[in-house]
Amino acid sequence: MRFDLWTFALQAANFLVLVWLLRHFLYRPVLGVITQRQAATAKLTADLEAQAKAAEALRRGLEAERAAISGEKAATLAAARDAAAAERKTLMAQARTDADAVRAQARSSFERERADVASSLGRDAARLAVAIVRRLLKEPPAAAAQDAMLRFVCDDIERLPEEARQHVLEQIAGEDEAAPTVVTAAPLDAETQRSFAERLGKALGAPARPEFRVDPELLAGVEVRFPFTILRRAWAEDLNRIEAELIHDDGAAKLA
Amino acid sequence: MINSPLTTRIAFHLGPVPVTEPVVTTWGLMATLVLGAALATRRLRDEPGRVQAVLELAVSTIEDQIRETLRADPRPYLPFLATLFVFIAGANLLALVPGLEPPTAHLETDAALAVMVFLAVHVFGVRALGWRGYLAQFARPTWVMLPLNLVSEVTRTFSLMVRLFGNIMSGVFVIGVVLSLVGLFVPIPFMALELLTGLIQAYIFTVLAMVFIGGAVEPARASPRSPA
Repeated sequence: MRFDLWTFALQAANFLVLVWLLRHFLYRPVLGVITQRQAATAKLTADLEAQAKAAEALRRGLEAERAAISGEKAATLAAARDAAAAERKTLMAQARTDADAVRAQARSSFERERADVASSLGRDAARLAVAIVRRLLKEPPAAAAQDAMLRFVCDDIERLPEEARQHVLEQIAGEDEAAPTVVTAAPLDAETQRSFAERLGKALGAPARPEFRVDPELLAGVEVRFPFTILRRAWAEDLNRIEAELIHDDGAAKLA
Repeated sequence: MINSPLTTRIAFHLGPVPVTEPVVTTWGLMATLVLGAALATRRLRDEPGRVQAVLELAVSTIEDQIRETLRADPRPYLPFLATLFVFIAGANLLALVPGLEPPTAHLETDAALAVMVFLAVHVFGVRALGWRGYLAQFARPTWVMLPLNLVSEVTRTFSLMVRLFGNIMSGVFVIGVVLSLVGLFVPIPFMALELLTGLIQAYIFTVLAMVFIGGAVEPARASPRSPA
Protein backbone atom coordinates (compact mmCIF):
# COMPACT_ATOMS: atom_id res chain seq x y z
CA MET A 1 0.00 0.00 0.00
CA ARG A 2 1.32 3.38 -1.00
CA PHE A 3 -0.08 6.83 -0.26
CA ASP A 4 0.08 8.99 -3.38
CA LEU A 5 0.35 12.62 -2.45
CA TRP A 6 -0.48 13.76 -5.97
CA THR A 7 -3.69 11.81 -5.90
CA PHE A 8 -4.43 13.22 -2.45
CA ALA A 9 -3.85 16.75 -3.64
CA LEU A 10 -5.79 16.29 -6.84
CA GLN A 11 -8.74 14.74 -5.00
CA ALA A 12 -8.78 17.60 -2.53
CA ALA A 13 -8.73 20.06 -5.38
CA ASN A 14 -11.37 18.07 -7.21
CA PHE A 15 -13.59 18.24 -4.16
CA LEU A 16 -13.19 21.98 -3.84
CA VAL A 17 -13.90 22.44 -7.52
CA LEU A 18 -16.93 20.22 -7.21
CA VAL A 19 -18.17 22.29 -4.29
CA TRP A 20 -17.84 25.41 -6.35
CA LEU A 21 -19.44 23.90 -9.44
CA LEU A 22 -22.36 22.41 -7.60
CA ARG A 23 -22.85 25.62 -5.72
CA HIS A 24 -23.08 27.43 -9.00
CA PHE A 25 -25.09 24.91 -10.96
CA LEU A 26 -27.21 23.24 -8.30
CA TYR A 27 -27.55 24.83 -4.91
CA ARG A 28 -27.83 28.42 -5.89
CA PRO A 29 -30.55 27.93 -8.54
CA VAL A 30 -32.52 25.49 -6.41
CA LEU A 31 -32.23 27.60 -3.29
CA GLY A 32 -33.13 30.65 -5.34
CA VAL A 33 -36.31 28.99 -6.53
CA ILE A 34 -37.10 27.81 -3.03
CA THR A 35 -36.43 31.27 -1.62
CA GLN A 36 -38.51 32.87 -4.34
CA ARG A 37 -41.37 30.48 -3.64
CA GLN A 38 -41.04 31.04 0.09
CA ALA A 39 -41.12 34.79 -0.51
CA ALA A 40 -44.17 34.40 -2.70
CA THR A 41 -45.75 32.17 -0.09
CA ALA A 42 -44.86 34.64 2.65
CA LYS A 43 -46.28 37.45 0.55
CA LEU A 44 -49.40 35.45 -0.11
CA THR A 45 -49.65 34.61 3.57
CA ALA A 46 -49.14 38.27 4.48
CA ASP A 47 -51.77 39.27 1.94
CA LEU A 48 -54.12 36.65 3.30
CA GLU A 49 -53.43 37.80 6.84
CA ALA A 50 -54.02 41.39 5.78
CA GLN A 51 -57.23 40.35 4.09
CA ALA A 52 -58.17 38.35 7.14
CA LYS A 53 -57.47 41.36 9.33
CA ALA A 54 -59.47 43.58 7.01
CA ALA A 55 -62.27 41.04 7.02
CA GLU A 56 -62.05 40.85 10.79
CA ALA A 57 -62.17 44.63 11.05
CA LEU A 58 -65.10 44.69 8.66
CA ARG A 59 -66.80 41.97 10.66
CA ARG A 60 -66.26 43.89 13.88
CA GLY A 61 -67.58 47.03 12.25
CA LEU A 62 -70.62 45.18 11.04
CA GLU A 63 -71.09 43.62 14.46
CA ALA A 64 -70.86 47.07 16.02
CA GLU A 65 -73.38 48.39 13.52
CA ARG A 66 -75.61 45.42 14.14
CA ALA A 67 -75.31 45.95 17.87
CA ALA A 68 -76.17 49.61 17.40
CA ILE A 69 -79.10 48.65 15.21
CA SER A 70 -80.18 46.13 17.79
CA GLY A 71 -79.96 48.74 20.51
CA GLU A 72 -81.86 51.24 18.43
CA LYS A 73 -84.42 48.60 17.60
CA ALA A 74 -84.78 47.72 21.25
CA ALA A 75 -85.16 51.40 22.15
CA THR A 76 -87.72 51.90 19.40
CA LEU A 77 -89.60 48.82 20.49
CA ALA A 78 -89.49 49.95 24.09
CA ALA A 79 -90.73 53.42 23.12
CA ALA A 80 -93.48 51.90 20.98
CA ARG A 81 -94.37 49.53 23.77
CA ASP A 82 -94.52 52.41 26.25
CA ALA A 83 -96.59 54.52 23.86
CA ALA A 84 -98.90 51.58 23.23
CA ALA A 85 -99.21 50.98 26.96
CA ALA A 86 -99.97 54.65 27.58
CA GLU A 87 -102.44 54.71 24.71
CA ARG A 88 -104.00 51.53 25.98
CA LYS A 89 -104.23 52.99 29.44
CA THR A 90 -105.85 56.13 28.09
CA LEU A 91 -108.24 54.13 25.94
CA MET A 92 -109.05 51.85 28.85
CA ALA A 93 -109.76 54.81 31.09
CA GLN A 94 -111.86 56.44 28.39
CA ALA A 95 -113.68 53.18 27.75
CA ARG A 96 -114.19 52.68 31.46
CA THR A 97 -115.56 56.20 31.78
CA ASP A 98 -117.83 55.71 28.79
CA ALA A 99 -118.90 52.34 30.10
CA ASP A 100 -119.65 53.80 33.50
CA ALA A 101 -121.65 56.58 31.88
CA VAL A 102 -123.53 54.12 29.69
CA ARG A 103 -124.01 51.83 32.64
CA ALA A 104 -125.28 54.70 34.82
CA GLN A 105 -127.55 55.87 32.03
CA ALA A 106 -128.80 52.36 31.49
CA ARG A 107 -129.28 51.86 35.18
CA SER A 108 -131.17 55.14 35.43
CA SER A 109 -133.28 54.26 32.44
CA PHE A 110 -133.81 50.80 33.76
CA GLU A 111 -134.82 52.13 37.16
CA ARG A 112 -137.15 54.55 35.55
CA GLU A 113 -138.69 51.94 33.32
CA ARG A 114 -138.81 49.54 36.19
CA ALA A 115 -140.60 52.12 38.31
CA ASP A 116 -143.03 52.83 35.50
CA VAL A 117 -143.61 49.14 34.94
CA ALA A 118 -144.00 48.58 38.65
CA SER A 119 -146.39 51.46 38.91
CA SER A 120 -148.36 50.23 35.95
CA LEU A 121 -148.33 46.69 37.26
CA GLY A 122 -149.36 47.96 40.67
CA ARG A 123 -152.27 49.83 39.18
CA ASP A 124 -153.29 46.89 37.10
CA ALA A 125 -152.91 44.64 40.08
CA ALA A 126 -155.00 46.96 42.21
CA ARG A 127 -157.66 47.12 39.55
CA LEU A 128 -157.50 43.41 39.12
CA ALA A 129 -157.67 42.83 42.86
CA VAL A 130 -160.62 45.14 43.25
CA ALA A 131 -162.32 43.58 40.28
CA ILE A 132 -161.73 40.15 41.73
CA VAL A 133 -163.07 41.24 45.08
CA ARG A 134 -166.01 42.87 43.47
CA ARG A 135 -166.80 39.78 41.51
CA LEU A 136 -166.40 37.65 44.56
CA LEU A 137 -168.55 39.90 46.69
CA LYS A 138 -171.28 40.02 44.08
CA GLU A 139 -171.94 36.43 44.92
CA PRO A 140 -174.54 35.94 47.70
CA PRO A 141 -172.62 36.72 50.84
CA ALA A 142 -172.37 34.08 53.40
CA ALA A 143 -174.73 34.19 56.30
CA ALA A 144 -171.90 34.63 58.71
CA ALA A 145 -170.62 37.70 56.86
CA GLN A 146 -174.06 39.14 56.68
CA ASP A 147 -174.63 38.58 60.39
CA ALA A 148 -171.25 40.11 61.15
CA MET A 149 -172.11 43.21 59.15
CA LEU A 150 -175.45 43.52 60.93
CA ARG A 151 -173.77 43.08 64.28
CA PHE A 152 -171.14 45.70 63.43
CA VAL A 153 -173.80 48.19 62.53
CA CYS A 154 -175.54 47.59 65.85
CA ASP A 155 -172.25 48.02 67.63
CA ASP A 156 -171.69 51.29 65.77
CA ILE A 157 -175.06 52.54 66.92
CA GLU A 158 -174.28 51.57 70.48
CA ARG A 159 -171.00 53.46 70.31
CA LEU A 160 -172.69 56.58 69.07
CA PRO A 161 -172.50 59.48 71.48
CA GLU A 162 -175.52 59.75 73.64
CA GLU A 163 -176.51 63.03 72.13
CA ALA A 164 -176.36 61.65 68.62
CA ARG A 165 -178.27 58.53 69.58
CA GLN A 166 -181.01 60.69 71.20
CA HIS A 167 -181.20 62.73 68.05
CA VAL A 168 -181.68 59.54 66.04
CA LEU A 169 -184.35 58.34 68.47
CA GLU A 170 -186.15 61.65 68.09
CA GLN A 171 -186.13 61.17 64.34
CA ILE A 172 -187.72 57.75 64.46
CA ALA A 173 -189.96 58.28 67.51
CA GLY A 174 -191.24 61.76 66.68
CA GLU A 175 -194.45 62.87 65.22
CA ASP A 176 -193.57 61.54 61.81
CA GLU A 177 -192.39 58.22 63.14
CA ALA A 178 -190.16 57.71 60.20
CA ALA A 179 -189.00 54.10 60.24
CA PRO A 180 -185.33 53.45 59.62
CA THR A 181 -184.48 51.70 56.39
CA VAL A 182 -182.05 48.78 56.41
CA VAL A 183 -180.40 48.24 53.02
CA THR A 184 -178.47 44.99 52.46
CA ALA A 185 -176.69 43.53 49.43
CA ALA A 186 -178.76 40.38 49.64
CA PRO A 187 -182.29 39.87 50.86
CA LEU A 188 -182.64 38.83 54.47
CA ASP A 189 -184.92 36.09 55.56
CA ALA A 190 -187.66 36.82 58.06
CA GLU A 191 -185.87 35.40 61.01
CA THR A 192 -182.84 37.50 60.31
CA GLN A 193 -185.00 40.59 59.82
CA ARG A 194 -186.72 39.97 63.13
CA SER A 195 -183.46 39.31 64.94
CA PHE A 196 -181.86 42.41 63.47
CA ALA A 197 -184.88 44.53 64.42
CA GLU A 198 -184.55 43.39 67.98
CA ARG A 199 -180.85 44.09 68.10
CA LEU A 200 -181.35 47.46 66.48
CA GLY A 201 -183.97 48.41 69.06
CA LYS A 202 -181.69 47.25 71.84
CA ALA A 203 -178.84 49.34 70.42
CA LEU A 204 -181.05 52.42 70.11
CA GLY A 205 -182.62 51.90 73.47
CA ALA A 206 -186.13 51.91 71.96
CA PRO A 207 -188.08 49.52 69.70
CA ALA A 208 -187.60 49.96 66.03
CA ARG A 209 -189.50 48.63 63.02
CA PRO A 210 -187.10 48.98 60.15
CA GLU A 211 -187.86 48.51 56.48
CA PHE A 212 -185.61 46.18 54.56
CA ARG A 213 -184.32 46.82 51.04
CA VAL A 214 -181.83 45.20 48.80
CA ASP A 215 -179.00 46.99 47.00
CA PRO A 216 -176.45 44.60 45.41
CA GLU A 217 -174.03 47.44 44.95
CA LEU A 218 -173.31 47.38 48.66
CA LEU A 219 -171.32 44.19 48.24
CA ALA A 220 -171.96 42.42 51.49
CA GLY A 221 -172.64 45.64 53.29
CA VAL A 222 -175.36 46.99 55.50
CA GLU A 223 -176.70 50.50 55.42
CA VAL A 224 -179.11 51.84 58.04
CA ARG A 225 -180.79 54.97 56.88
CA PHE A 226 -182.40 57.26 59.39
CA PRO A 227 -184.21 60.44 58.29
CA PHE A 228 -181.12 62.54 58.66
CA THR A 229 -178.47 60.03 59.49
CA ILE A 230 -176.98 57.09 57.57
CA LEU A 231 -174.89 54.39 59.16
CA ARG A 232 -173.08 52.25 56.67
CA ARG A 233 -171.01 49.09 56.90
CA ALA A 234 -170.40 48.25 53.21
CA TRP A 235 -167.43 46.64 51.49
CA ALA A 236 -168.14 48.52 48.27
CA GLU A 237 -167.28 51.79 49.88
CA ASP A 238 -164.18 50.32 51.42
CA LEU A 239 -163.09 48.92 48.07
CA ASN A 240 -163.65 52.24 46.35
CA ARG A 241 -161.55 53.95 48.95
CA ILE A 242 -158.79 51.35 48.78
CA GLU A 243 -158.76 51.46 44.99
CA ALA A 244 -158.49 55.23 45.04
CA GLU A 245 -155.66 55.05 47.48
CA LEU A 246 -153.81 52.31 45.49
CA ILE A 247 -154.12 54.00 42.15
CA HIS A 248 -153.67 57.65 43.02
CA ASP A 249 -151.43 57.42 46.02
CA ASP A 250 -148.12 55.62 46.19
CA GLY A 251 -149.97 52.47 47.04
CA ALA A 252 -148.85 50.96 43.78
CA ALA A 253 -145.25 51.41 44.82
CA LYS A 254 -146.05 49.77 48.08
CA LEU A 255 -147.70 46.89 46.28
CA ALA A 256 -144.74 46.56 43.97
CA MET B 1 -11.77 -6.67 -9.80
CA ILE B 2 -8.39 -8.28 -10.32
CA ASN B 3 -6.01 -5.79 -8.81
CA SER B 4 -5.67 -5.15 -5.14
CA PRO B 5 -7.74 -2.19 -3.94
CA LEU B 6 -4.80 -1.09 -1.90
CA THR B 7 -2.82 -0.21 -4.99
CA THR B 8 -3.36 2.92 -7.05
CA ARG B 9 -2.79 2.67 -10.76
CA ILE B 10 -1.60 5.61 -12.77
CA ALA B 11 -3.80 6.37 -15.74
CA PHE B 12 -1.59 8.97 -17.41
CA HIS B 13 0.74 11.84 -16.62
CA LEU B 14 0.14 15.52 -16.91
CA GLY B 15 3.65 16.68 -17.16
CA PRO B 16 5.31 15.61 -13.97
CA VAL B 17 2.01 14.93 -12.30
CA PRO B 18 0.84 11.35 -12.37
CA VAL B 19 -2.91 11.13 -12.76
CA THR B 20 -4.21 7.99 -11.13
CA GLU B 21 -7.40 6.12 -11.95
CA PRO B 22 -9.33 7.37 -8.88
CA VAL B 23 -8.66 10.90 -10.03
CA VAL B 24 -9.93 10.15 -13.48
CA THR B 25 -12.97 8.41 -12.04
CA THR B 26 -13.56 11.42 -9.83
CA TRP B 27 -13.40 13.72 -12.83
CA GLY B 28 -15.97 11.58 -14.57
CA LEU B 29 -18.15 11.64 -11.50
CA MET B 30 -17.75 15.39 -11.21
CA ALA B 31 -18.61 15.89 -14.82
CA THR B 32 -21.67 13.73 -14.44
CA LEU B 33 -22.83 15.52 -11.33
CA VAL B 34 -22.23 18.99 -12.69
CA LEU B 35 -23.73 18.20 -16.07
CA GLY B 36 -26.74 16.59 -14.45
CA ALA B 37 -27.17 19.54 -12.10
CA ALA B 38 -26.85 22.01 -14.96
CA LEU B 39 -29.43 20.14 -17.02
CA ALA B 40 -31.78 19.69 -14.07
CA THR B 41 -31.62 23.33 -13.06
CA ARG B 42 -31.79 24.69 -16.57
CA ARG B 43 -35.49 25.45 -16.46
CA LEU B 44 -36.58 25.93 -12.91
CA ARG B 45 -40.12 27.15 -12.48
CA ASP B 46 -42.38 28.13 -9.67
CA GLU B 47 -44.48 25.08 -10.36
CA PRO B 48 -41.84 22.36 -10.14
CA GLY B 49 -41.73 19.37 -12.45
CA ARG B 50 -40.81 15.91 -11.33
CA VAL B 51 -37.01 16.38 -11.52
CA GLN B 52 -37.17 19.83 -9.96
CA ALA B 53 -39.35 18.52 -7.15
CA VAL B 54 -36.79 15.78 -6.41
CA LEU B 55 -33.96 18.30 -6.45
CA GLU B 56 -35.84 20.70 -4.19
CA LEU B 57 -36.78 17.87 -1.86
CA ALA B 58 -33.16 16.69 -1.63
CA VAL B 59 -31.78 20.18 -1.05
CA SER B 60 -34.51 21.01 1.47
CA THR B 61 -33.91 17.77 3.34
CA ILE B 62 -30.18 18.44 3.61
CA GLU B 63 -30.91 22.01 4.59
CA ASP B 64 -33.30 20.88 7.33
CA GLN B 65 -30.75 18.35 8.56
CA ILE B 66 -28.09 21.05 8.78
CA ARG B 67 -30.50 23.43 10.52
CA GLU B 68 -31.46 20.81 13.09
CA THR B 69 -27.87 19.83 13.77
CA LEU B 70 -26.22 23.22 13.76
CA ARG B 71 -29.23 25.18 14.99
CA ALA B 72 -28.14 28.00 12.71
CA ASP B 73 -28.75 29.31 9.23
CA PRO B 74 -27.85 26.37 6.99
CA ARG B 75 -27.11 28.38 3.85
CA PRO B 76 -23.35 29.00 4.51
CA TYR B 77 -22.71 25.33 5.20
CA LEU B 78 -25.01 23.81 2.62
CA PRO B 79 -22.64 23.76 -0.39
CA PHE B 80 -19.82 22.09 1.49
CA LEU B 81 -21.88 19.51 3.38
CA ALA B 82 -24.27 18.73 0.55
CA THR B 83 -21.36 18.31 -1.88
CA LEU B 84 -19.67 16.07 0.63
CA PHE B 85 -22.74 13.81 0.78
CA VAL B 86 -23.39 13.85 -2.95
CA PHE B 87 -19.77 13.18 -3.84
CA ILE B 88 -19.27 10.37 -1.31
CA ALA B 89 -22.62 8.74 -2.16
CA GLY B 90 -21.92 8.99 -5.87
CA ALA B 91 -18.41 7.67 -5.46
CA ASN B 92 -19.54 4.80 -3.29
CA LEU B 93 -22.26 3.83 -5.74
CA LEU B 94 -19.67 3.57 -8.49
CA ALA B 95 -18.87 0.18 -7.00
CA LEU B 96 -22.01 -1.05 -8.71
CA VAL B 97 -20.80 0.04 -12.14
CA PRO B 98 -18.82 -2.68 -13.80
CA GLY B 99 -15.21 -1.75 -14.53
CA LEU B 100 -15.15 1.23 -12.21
CA GLU B 101 -13.67 1.50 -8.76
CA PRO B 102 -15.09 3.91 -6.22
CA PRO B 103 -12.61 6.70 -5.60
CA THR B 104 -13.48 6.41 -1.94
CA ALA B 105 -12.09 2.90 -1.94
CA HIS B 106 -8.64 4.53 -2.17
CA LEU B 107 -7.09 6.08 0.87
CA GLU B 108 -5.99 9.28 -0.89
CA THR B 109 -9.56 10.28 -1.68
CA ASP B 110 -10.79 9.57 1.86
CA ALA B 111 -7.82 11.41 3.30
CA ALA B 112 -8.50 14.37 1.03
CA LEU B 113 -12.12 14.44 2.14
CA ALA B 114 -11.19 14.13 5.80
CA VAL B 115 -8.67 16.91 5.47
CA MET B 116 -11.29 19.04 3.75
CA VAL B 117 -13.57 18.47 6.72
CA PHE B 118 -10.70 19.25 9.10
CA LEU B 119 -10.02 22.53 7.34
CA ALA B 120 -13.69 23.38 6.97
CA VAL B 121 -14.24 22.94 10.69
CA HIS B 122 -11.54 25.47 11.46
CA VAL B 123 -12.56 27.87 8.72
CA PHE B 124 -16.20 27.90 9.80
CA GLY B 125 -15.20 28.07 13.49
CA VAL B 126 -12.93 31.06 12.97
CA ARG B 127 -15.52 32.71 10.77
CA ALA B 128 -18.19 32.26 13.44
CA LEU B 129 -16.18 32.96 16.61
CA GLY B 130 -13.09 34.81 15.50
CA TRP B 131 -9.52 33.67 15.97
CA ARG B 132 -9.40 34.30 19.68
CA GLY B 133 -12.81 32.87 20.42
CA TYR B 134 -12.23 29.83 18.30
CA LEU B 135 -8.82 29.03 19.73
CA ALA B 136 -10.19 29.51 23.21
CA GLN B 137 -12.49 26.58 22.55
CA PHE B 138 -9.58 24.21 22.76
CA ALA B 139 -8.85 25.23 26.35
CA ARG B 140 -12.33 24.37 27.54
CA PRO B 141 -13.51 23.37 30.00
CA THR B 142 -9.95 23.77 31.47
CA TRP B 143 -6.42 24.28 30.16
CA VAL B 144 -5.69 20.72 31.03
CA MET B 145 -7.95 19.64 28.21
CA LEU B 146 -5.94 21.54 25.58
CA PRO B 147 -3.64 18.63 24.56
CA LEU B 148 -6.52 16.20 24.44
CA ASN B 149 -8.61 18.56 22.36
CA LEU B 150 -5.74 19.08 19.92
CA VAL B 151 -5.17 15.36 19.65
CA SER B 152 -8.87 14.75 19.15
CA GLU B 153 -8.87 17.14 16.22
CA VAL B 154 -6.40 14.86 14.49
CA THR B 155 -7.79 11.55 15.62
CA ARG B 156 -11.36 12.28 14.64
CA THR B 157 -10.20 13.36 11.21
CA PHE B 158 -8.18 10.20 11.00
CA SER B 159 -11.18 8.15 12.12
CA LEU B 160 -13.31 9.76 9.42
CA MET B 161 -10.81 8.76 6.80
CA VAL B 162 -10.30 5.23 8.07
CA ARG B 163 -13.98 4.55 8.56
CA LEU B 164 -14.91 5.51 5.05
CA PHE B 165 -11.90 3.85 3.53
CA GLY B 166 -12.35 0.61 5.48
CA ASN B 167 -16.03 0.22 4.69
CA ILE B 168 -15.82 1.00 1.01
CA MET B 169 -12.53 -0.77 0.36
CA SER B 170 -13.72 -3.89 2.13
CA GLY B 171 -16.96 -3.91 0.16
CA VAL B 172 -15.15 -3.55 -3.12
CA PHE B 173 -12.68 -6.18 -2.05
CA VAL B 174 -15.39 -8.64 -1.09
CA ILE B 175 -17.31 -8.07 -4.30
CA GLY B 176 -14.11 -8.52 -6.31
CA VAL B 177 -13.21 -11.73 -4.54
CA VAL B 178 -16.72 -13.20 -4.82
CA LEU B 179 -16.99 -12.12 -8.44
CA SER B 180 -13.69 -13.71 -9.29
CA LEU B 181 -14.53 -16.91 -7.50
CA VAL B 182 -18.22 -17.57 -8.16
CA GLY B 183 -19.60 -15.83 -11.19
CA LEU B 184 -22.06 -13.21 -12.27
CA PHE B 185 -25.17 -13.50 -10.12
CA VAL B 186 -23.83 -14.51 -6.73
CA PRO B 187 -22.26 -11.07 -6.01
CA ILE B 188 -25.60 -9.36 -6.49
CA PRO B 189 -26.61 -9.56 -2.80
CA PHE B 190 -23.20 -8.26 -1.88
CA MET B 191 -23.61 -5.43 -4.34
CA ALA B 192 -26.97 -4.57 -2.84
CA LEU B 193 -25.36 -4.58 0.55
CA GLU B 194 -22.60 -2.38 -0.82
CA LEU B 195 -25.24 0.00 -2.14
CA LEU B 196 -26.71 0.29 1.32
CA THR B 197 -23.29 0.56 2.92
CA GLY B 198 -22.22 3.27 0.51
CA LEU B 199 -25.26 5.41 1.24
CA ILE B 200 -24.96 4.88 4.99
CA GLN B 201 -21.26 5.75 4.96
CA ALA B 202 -21.94 8.89 2.97
CA TYR B 203 -24.60 9.86 5.48
CA ILE B 204 -22.36 9.08 8.46
CA PHE B 205 -19.41 11.00 7.01
CA THR B 206 -21.61 14.01 6.26
CA VAL B 207 -23.38 13.98 9.61
CA LEU B 208 -20.09 13.71 11.49
CA ALA B 209 -18.70 16.62 9.49
CA MET B 210 -21.87 18.50 10.34
CA VAL B 211 -21.43 17.74 14.02
CA PHE B 212 -17.78 18.80 13.95
CA ILE B 213 -18.65 22.06 12.28
CA GLY B 214 -21.51 22.58 14.69
CA GLY B 215 -19.18 22.07 17.62
CA ALA B 216 -16.83 24.61 16.16
CA VAL B 217 -19.33 27.35 15.44
CA GLU B 218 -21.29 27.04 18.68
CA PRO B 219 -19.35 27.74 21.91
CA ALA B 220 -21.79 25.92 24.15
CA ARG B 221 -21.36 22.75 22.21
CA ALA B 222 -17.59 22.98 21.90
CA SER B 223 -16.58 21.01 24.99
CA PRO B 224 -17.48 17.47 23.81
CA ARG B 225 -15.17 17.81 20.90
CA SER B 226 -14.55 14.25 19.98
CA PRO B 227 -17.62 12.21 19.20
CA ALA B 228 -15.52 10.00 16.90
